[in-house]
Amino acid sequence: MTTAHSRSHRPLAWLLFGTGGFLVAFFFPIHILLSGLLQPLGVLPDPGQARLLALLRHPITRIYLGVLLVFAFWHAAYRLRDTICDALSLRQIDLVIVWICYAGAAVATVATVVLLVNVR
Amino acid sequence: MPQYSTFQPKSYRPRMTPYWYLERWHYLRFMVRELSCVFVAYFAVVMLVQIWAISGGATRYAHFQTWMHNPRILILNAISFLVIAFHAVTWFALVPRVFVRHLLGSGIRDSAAMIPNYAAWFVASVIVAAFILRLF
Repeated sequence: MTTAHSRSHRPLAWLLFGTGGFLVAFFFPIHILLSGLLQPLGVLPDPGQARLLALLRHPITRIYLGVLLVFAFWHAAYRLRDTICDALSLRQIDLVIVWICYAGAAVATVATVVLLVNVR
Repeated sequence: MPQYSTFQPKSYRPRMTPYWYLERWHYLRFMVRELSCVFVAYFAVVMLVQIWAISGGATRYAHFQTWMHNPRILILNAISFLVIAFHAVTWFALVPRVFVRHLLGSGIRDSAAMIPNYAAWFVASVIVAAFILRLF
């Protein structure tokens, strides 16, 4: 017999959310600090497009970025769904919000993979 | 069998305003942590655009860098950094309460469980920074 609990998507979604939360906590602050603040402000030098492209061409860099970004998108989607429902008191249309958030994460996942596979 | 309905008890459902999280600091802190997802999604998209710009050649990368120098983007990045760092700190505080107890079957002091997290955070940040700044 299939129960409502066994049909729940929550365990899989929480796995994506938890892994994403872990990766975001460890790696996003340094990326924002360097690429988003210190380099644009001129505190640290910009390595330049050619050197960053050489780094990006390395398979390990692409795997790292792929894993980090894909899990970050699913982490954000999971939390955004609950934030919209809680902050705007919209739990009654939870199913619609789930589909919008997870569809966004799915599109972002495809975009990430396509972009990283096509780095030449 | 007659149905009794005159004074049928109803389940208690407290009324919540859409701004319930402004009532207490703890609620607001919870909501700030939840809102970090917006900034995570924002900077993940920025990183995608950065990858697209790097792989698109010097001109496209120069446009990306010009865009990153925009003061509004810098302010948005600063807010993103603060909110995501807050997410990181709360995440590291969560680990001792859940993960360590699950693994060891008993709890240890929060500080003892958090220190390895902060050490790993520092090492991970140094390694990523070294690669981005091309120190290796």
